[in-house]
Amino acid sequence: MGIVPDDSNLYPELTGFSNLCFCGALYGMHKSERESRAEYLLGLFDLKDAANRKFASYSRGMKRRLTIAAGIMHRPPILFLDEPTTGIDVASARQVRQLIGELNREGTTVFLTTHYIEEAERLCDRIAFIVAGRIVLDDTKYNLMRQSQGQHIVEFAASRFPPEVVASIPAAFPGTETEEPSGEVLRVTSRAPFRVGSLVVFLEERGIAVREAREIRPSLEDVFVRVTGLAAMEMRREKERGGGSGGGT
Amino acid sequence: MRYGVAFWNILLKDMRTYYLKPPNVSWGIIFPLAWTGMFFIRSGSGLESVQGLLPGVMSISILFGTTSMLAVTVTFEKKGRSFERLLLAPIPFTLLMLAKTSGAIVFGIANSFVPLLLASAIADLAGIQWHLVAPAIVLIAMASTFLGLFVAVSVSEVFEAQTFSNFIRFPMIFLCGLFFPISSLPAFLQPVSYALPLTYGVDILQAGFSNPSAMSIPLDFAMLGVFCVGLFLVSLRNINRRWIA
Repeated sequence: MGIVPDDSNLYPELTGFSNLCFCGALYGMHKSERESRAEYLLGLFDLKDAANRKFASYSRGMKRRLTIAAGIMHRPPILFLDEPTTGIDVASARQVRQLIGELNREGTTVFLTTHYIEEAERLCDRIAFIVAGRIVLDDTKYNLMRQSQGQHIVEFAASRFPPEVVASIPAAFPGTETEEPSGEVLRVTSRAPFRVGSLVVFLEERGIAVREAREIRPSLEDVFVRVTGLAAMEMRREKERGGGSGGGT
Repeated sequence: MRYGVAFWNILLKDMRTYYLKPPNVSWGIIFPLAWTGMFFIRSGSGLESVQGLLPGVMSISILFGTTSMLAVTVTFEKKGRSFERLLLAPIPFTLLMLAKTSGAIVFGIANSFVPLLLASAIADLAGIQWHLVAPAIVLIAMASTFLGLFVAVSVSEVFEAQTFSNFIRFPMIFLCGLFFPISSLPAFLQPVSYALPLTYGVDILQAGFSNPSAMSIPLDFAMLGVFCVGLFLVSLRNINRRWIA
């Protein structure tokens, strides 16, 4: 089993190469084996040029990559990754995600904990939502997404949506529900498909100049919000408290 | 073999990484060296007094060397969370802590030879009874290291470890019979002296340098052994309780 904590907790005084070799030694790897493995991983993680630089001089993204490399030095069949992309730049995060995908394709089971639901959606096969330290839902990504796929959501943008017009929509379009995430956005949800053009005409006829109408594809975040009942603001608070969502590939 | 690789690499890494860290250099090298130099200069009464001073200055060198090293190796790694990496490694916990403390023990032993080498330049040390001095150095180094571990586990910053260590190290200098016999201490302080590991180590060193010893040598060795095992086990329990459980 390999563990990559959320902190890049390698030794600042050692070089990237020495850090990897030391981590291999902790698992009893012999000198030649750990040196060749360290060289391979430094190449795989695009750190070959920095191999002989001290870990303390690495950028955050480089530190993150080397910490993940250290976690798989001993070829663990199972790898735990805690917040692998938190606090690193976009390019490094992208690179880390690609590496996680590659590891998984090569046969490593990865347990990934993340606050970024879209990251879990992109990388994980099975996802567990954790709220306040408890698993509230655990299923495959396919099953979780299917729960929301029965819904059709369309968002309309206009300068304003008079309440009496919004209230009349469910009667005119049976099976629909409305909500207003903001004063300028109206979200219409339905179990069955409905004619967006007719709804635009309905709104225009009542004096609402519709700027935009777009279909919203249900995301894992929608599933999370629906399952946990946590709205965006609460999710942010949850993040600050240290709870969140988790998943595994 | 697998454990041997891990043990050796932890020891080697600590020696390479921490021996020359500033807190260790100041408290573990410069301070004992200055202390030794001060005593040699101050002793000026004659070269024969060097053998009388050596048990004291050697003990101080070991005590400060080992405790300073532990304050650095354990506290730095605990703070930087790299200690967690060691705890996750598939090594028995006791072996891991022995590996982690071995660097300090080696450092303490090496430190003890500094006053010895200085003394050999100015006095004849042919009469040293190495069969007493050598095991005493090793046991003092081990007991002091585990004392340092006990302190390091109780704090979170290196400066706290050094400061807290000084509360133990300095009284020990004056209570362990390093420079004047325990019998000359006030009666109420004498029991305290016998509760300190260095008292027994110094007593063996005194005998090793042909100075009068206060207790029987087997008792000294036994007591040092008890301190080593006791302090190590208490430290392991504290790490388990504070850092793992």
